[in-house]
Amino acid sequence: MDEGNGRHRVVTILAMSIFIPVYFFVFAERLAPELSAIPRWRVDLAAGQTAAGPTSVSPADATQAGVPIPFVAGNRYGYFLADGTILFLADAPGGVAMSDHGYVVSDTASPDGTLGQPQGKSRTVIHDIRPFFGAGRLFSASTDGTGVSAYDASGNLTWSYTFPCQLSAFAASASLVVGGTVDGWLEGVNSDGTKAFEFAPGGSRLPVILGAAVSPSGAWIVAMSGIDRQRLIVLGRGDAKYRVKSHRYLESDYREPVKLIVMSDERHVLYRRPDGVGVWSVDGKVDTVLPVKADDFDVSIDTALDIAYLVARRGGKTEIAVFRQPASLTGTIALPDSSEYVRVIGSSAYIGGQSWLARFDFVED
Amino acid sequence: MYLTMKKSRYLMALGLVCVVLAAFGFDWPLDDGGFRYGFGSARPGFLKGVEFGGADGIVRAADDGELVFTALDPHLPGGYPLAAGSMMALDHASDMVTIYAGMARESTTAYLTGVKRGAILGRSLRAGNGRGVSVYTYDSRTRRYINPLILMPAVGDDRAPVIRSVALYADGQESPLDQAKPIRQGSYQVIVDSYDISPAGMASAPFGIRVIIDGSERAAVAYDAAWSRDGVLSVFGGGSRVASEYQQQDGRVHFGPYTFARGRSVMSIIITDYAGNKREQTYSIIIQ
Repeated sequence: MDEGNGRHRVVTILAMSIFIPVYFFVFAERLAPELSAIPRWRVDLAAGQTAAGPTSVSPADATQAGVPIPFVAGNRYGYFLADGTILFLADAPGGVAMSDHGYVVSDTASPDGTLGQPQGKSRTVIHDIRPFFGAGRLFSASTDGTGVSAYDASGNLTWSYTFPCQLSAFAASASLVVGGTVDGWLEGVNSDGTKAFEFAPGGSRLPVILGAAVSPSGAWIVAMSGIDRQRLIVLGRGDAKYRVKSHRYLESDYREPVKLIVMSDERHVLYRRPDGVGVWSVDGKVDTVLPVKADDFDVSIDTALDIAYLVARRGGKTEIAVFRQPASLTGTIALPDSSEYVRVIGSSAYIGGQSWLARFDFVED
Repeated sequence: MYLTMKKSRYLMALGLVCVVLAAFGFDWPLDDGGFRYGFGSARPGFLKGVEFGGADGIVRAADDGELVFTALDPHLPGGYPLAAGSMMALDHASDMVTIYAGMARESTTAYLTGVKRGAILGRSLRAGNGRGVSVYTYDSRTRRYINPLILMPAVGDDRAPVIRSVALYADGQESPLDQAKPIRQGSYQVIVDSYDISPAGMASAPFGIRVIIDGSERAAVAYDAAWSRDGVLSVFGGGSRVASEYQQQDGRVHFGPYTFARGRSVMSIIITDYAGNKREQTYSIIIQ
């Protein structure tokens, strides 16, 4: 009996000693290189810098130093360069809408706004505007929440469009605007202001559009719709028409705006879900989740390091989650509570508040 | 047999009444109907609902319903600024949706899903511009806004609407009719500037406008519905008009064009309000 037990133990040890090396050699996966976040600079945004217009750097100097990056935290706004040079800072008590190429400061005493450029001194007053930017395009919202107007880069009105019901979702690309309505319809608007399509996802007890996103090319539209049950729907453009390319029912029961993103690779969709950020491919073949809980998020792909950064916000907390596509989480960095501003460009993260601005870079060890 | 048929007809009629009551029996969500601006007022653009003041009022559900959407951040995720900074939408029976915009964000009962008639939804925003909560009643089956003042209890009103001015318009020139100046024969639009005093004392849109020329009714509009197709807002179920062509930014409205031949014409403008009060003004026009 003892002899039998001893033989069994020897066989087990021998099998394990063979299996373990074989496992590591045959099934080995390349480990991701470790990422470090290296601080580059930090600047204090003193009250003295809040000038009414560009003060610190001349436009010519700014062009040499790089592309202006918009900054907004509370009512404070401005532009800076990647090396930490502040192009200008100002305060906008009436609010400000910003993009990489321009900004509109809302007037406190009237419904007018003033359009400016980061490196120019010309200002254009636009009457009756509730400004916002989408995909770098300047829009204005109607006061009742059913309409949108588009402007060119000089602030000239190009078209206005009234949706049938109040908007509950909005997305824009360079060539397309998509409005999702409270009564559960999606309606697309071409760059000339004509209707591109309309579509009611249906399939739920109560129709409503809770979120929408459009890919940079305008080829893909994703929407979250309905209550009981909620659906994720991907529309793809083919033969100038949009058709359902994939969809799935969701476990969620959101009754509020939901963030959706079609990533710049035009393949993956990110969507808010209770257990994290869902990852879905436009063809429906990828269905997974990033275990990062977020009410709101932005994503940026770092082509140099072949990774993506998810800026996740939840309950006043902000963190940057680093992941490899589609949903392999590498790590997260919690940001200070005072981080009202977060922008990731390439491998650089710019964070700041009303009185400070900093940059750190992700580098591979 | 006869009794059974009679009974079934009676039941059908009763059912119809119940459906109508279910569809149209809304309560005032705020201020017991003390609204500032009614359907069709220029705020700016054609108001598709009813607007209440900026008082610190309690906003209640107009009917039993289910909360389908609440937005309390000032912007939708795509950047679109919300109307009045917040919005709630309730789905009711008979495909009606009521939409409430402009409640104070911290006051809303967004955690509710099923909502009973009269349940508190939130508190009106104390807006600096005097604008408070706006309420819209939307028929999701026909995709039209229905005038809430038709669906909600009547408000006592013994004041007749007011006609500020009526003018003829052609070739970029306006000819006010109260100046008794002759006009040249030709085609003119009629521009009417009228209002009805709202319960809150503001110049609100009336309910109906009729234009009668030489005894013949040339136009009659009832402020009942508004809808959008292909990005263009149209108004009035009885006779569709493009809102931007009908209403100017200053709230004056256009009719016509009508052709006036040489001689004399008599034009009457009749304005009615929701209580049935009427104001009629007649102009004698000399056409050269």
